[in-house]
Amino acid sequence: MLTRYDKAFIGSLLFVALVILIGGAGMLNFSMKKGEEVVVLVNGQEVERCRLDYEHPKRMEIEGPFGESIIEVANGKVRMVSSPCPNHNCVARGWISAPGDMIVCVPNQVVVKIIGCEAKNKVDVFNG
Amino acid sequence: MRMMGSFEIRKMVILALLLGAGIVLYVIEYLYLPVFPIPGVRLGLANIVTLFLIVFFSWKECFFNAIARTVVGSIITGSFFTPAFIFSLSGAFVSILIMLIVYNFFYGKLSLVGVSVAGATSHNITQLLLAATLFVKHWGILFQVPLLLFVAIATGTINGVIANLFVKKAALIPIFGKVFVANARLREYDE
Repeated sequence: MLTRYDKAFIGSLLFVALVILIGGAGMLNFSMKKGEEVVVLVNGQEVERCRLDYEHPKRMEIEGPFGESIIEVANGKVRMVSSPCPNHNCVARGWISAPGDMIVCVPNQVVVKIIGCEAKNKVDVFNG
Repeated sequence: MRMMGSFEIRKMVILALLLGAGIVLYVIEYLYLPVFPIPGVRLGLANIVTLFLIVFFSWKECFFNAIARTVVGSIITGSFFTPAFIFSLSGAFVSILIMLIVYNFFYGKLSLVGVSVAGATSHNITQLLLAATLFVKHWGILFQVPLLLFVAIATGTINGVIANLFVKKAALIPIFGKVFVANARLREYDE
């Protein structure tokens, strides 16, 4: 059914696809690290901004209506360490790292948001 | 009016039947085979008809069949003049061009599987380039290239195997058999 040349052709295409896949994954890793930032908003106002690839763990104390929220940035991830809110949903959210991800603490009106170059121009859904 | 010979009438009827088959495959695929949850990934069953036309007819019939199939199929599925329609049309156009080239230069060494895989690959790459330049306007979408290449290889192989069987059976029918044998002889003479 398949001739020898068919197999060679398909094999070489598979090889090309693999090479692009590996190269693309490498490039994606490389480019995603750059230009991503953490933005902290209190009551809709930006109060703090920090590079996500910050080398050393960094703590930010954010003053909200309820009290002080503590946010930690480390190894390209962010989390809420402690919060004065009653439920601690924001602390339970854990680490976030993807562009567009956010931690929201409604009582203390604190929003921690990750923005990246990917997120600005990103298509949510392409229907067609 | 010019009189048509019986051969021309038969040819016309066969082309009409193939067009119908192409439209039916297009619509069935659209309605019942969303196998992959990735946008833009389809089996491309209608390509079997195109492969058949490439073997037994000329490039004009191939292009006419593909364009008419896409237009009628998209009217039926309700995607006429949407991005999906533009994708289908441009993908079909480029893939037929590539398949005609591959068929004319490499058939005999490559079977229809190879031709089909080349067509499927070029179809997907065309659509992705079109999406990157016209609709999404972001080159990040090109990270889908390897994924679509894998898919194209898989679907192209399936379609090629089916087309191989189809062409072999059809060559037993006298009217196709004549054409097939004539083409085969032509190729031998070239080599």
